[in-house]
Amino acid sequence: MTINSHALVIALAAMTSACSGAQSGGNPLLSGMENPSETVLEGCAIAKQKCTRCHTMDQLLAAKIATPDTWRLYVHRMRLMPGAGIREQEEPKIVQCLVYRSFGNEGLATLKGQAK
Amino acid sequence: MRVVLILISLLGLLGSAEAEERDRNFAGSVQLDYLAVPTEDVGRDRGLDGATVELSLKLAIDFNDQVSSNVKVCVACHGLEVGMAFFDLRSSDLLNFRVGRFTPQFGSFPLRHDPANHRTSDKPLPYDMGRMLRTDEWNMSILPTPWVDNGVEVSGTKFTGDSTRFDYALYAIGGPKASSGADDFDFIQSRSRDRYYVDNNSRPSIGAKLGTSFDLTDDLSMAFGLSGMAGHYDPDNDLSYQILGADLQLRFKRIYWRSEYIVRRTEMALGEDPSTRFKYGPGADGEFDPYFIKDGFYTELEVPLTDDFDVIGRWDGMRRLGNVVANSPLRSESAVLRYTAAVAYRLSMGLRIKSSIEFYDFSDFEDETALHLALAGPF
Repeated sequence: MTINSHALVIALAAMTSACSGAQSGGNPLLSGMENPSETVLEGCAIAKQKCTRCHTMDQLLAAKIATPDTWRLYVHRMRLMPGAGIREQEEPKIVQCLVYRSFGNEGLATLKGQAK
Repeated sequence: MRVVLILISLLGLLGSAEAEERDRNFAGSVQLDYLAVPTEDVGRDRGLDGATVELSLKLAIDFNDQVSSNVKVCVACHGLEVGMAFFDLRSSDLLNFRVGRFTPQFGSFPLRHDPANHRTSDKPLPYDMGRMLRTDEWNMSILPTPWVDNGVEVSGTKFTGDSTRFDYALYAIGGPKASSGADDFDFIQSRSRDRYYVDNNSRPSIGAKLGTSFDLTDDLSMAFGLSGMAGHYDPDNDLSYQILGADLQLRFKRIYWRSEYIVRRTEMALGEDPSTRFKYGPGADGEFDPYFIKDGFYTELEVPLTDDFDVIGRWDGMRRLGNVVANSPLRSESAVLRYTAAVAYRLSMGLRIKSSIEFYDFSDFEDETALHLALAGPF
């Protein structure tokens, strides 16, 4: 059994640099937000915890959504995914977080079919 | 050329989406992974080592609350594949019809199969699709993921109480394929355009999944599921298979513990002279057993140390019980266990570096070590 030392060194170096580079931070969904409401804050906290059950937070951060209502439909579809674990009352809060992140207060105002 | 045309079509749809302000979402992900086998001078003898790219481009359209559609194309080791092309017709939370090309509901991991969704470079052994070492000798895994097929799926969710829900799914799909007289699935044939994307035996495979999830506290939740699939895989409709699975997931805050078990019972063609076709002779009753069992498991712990840094530990394995063809390097009882330690670090805006070390413990071959280094992210 021979060990290719190059490959081992590369992998260990990558792990070490990743470990040393790890920093704690807040909720990435809140980055760039100005004065979010309590509901938005709560929704973002729920999204951070529940959405990562199936995918990384990066999916949310990278999403390019056309309209506020798209987020509403999208989150509803995700809540119906098997084992999603998102409660009914949590769905509109997550939507508010994501709409505010994408469209600000104007987006919240145009949300259809749910209370602001 | 075909790839270019499809990309142009997708971008065209994206462009019109912006113009019409329709409820459309375009998303994608890329992973570049390098697999090294430091215990071998030439890793290719043990598996598909080296660099692989997995690209997915997905367009989701919500026409309204009841109708949505998803189209996803992927480019990976197999070249261009259509991973999704289906409509969802939802009359209520309890009743949804999915029609088209999709991954039927089975187990838990297939939901997270996209490399941008799971923290390790590769998949658990029972769901591996060619990245495990000794993949040829083992004829890959039990249910390579994503298992994409044509068919129809009826599914739904019943919410009870504050946090408890029950999910179900029933489906009929083309099913796995192989040639007449086969001794196992032929995974290449199952996805090959040369055989067309149609059922090979005029009999759909059927399957179902039942699941439940509930919150024990605000921070602690649990999900559990049972899955099954059955049918015939040869053109003559003679060779049967059944797959059963159980999955369990516990979440404490953002720490996840996931476990699954899958077992497949597969019928082999005995042929005209089984004594020369197979490695082992008949049983005590003088008859050759035409079935083999392939089962496997994984259990993994995913711990986010910070928002950017995840640590993952996984233990998985596979076993094959039953007769084997005469030239197989496996025995009547073969097993592989694998131990994985992995980290994933978010660099910026979704770009994530993943690295893992895997120790393979084979019952029939020398033990091996594998290293993964990957860059992955959604866009």
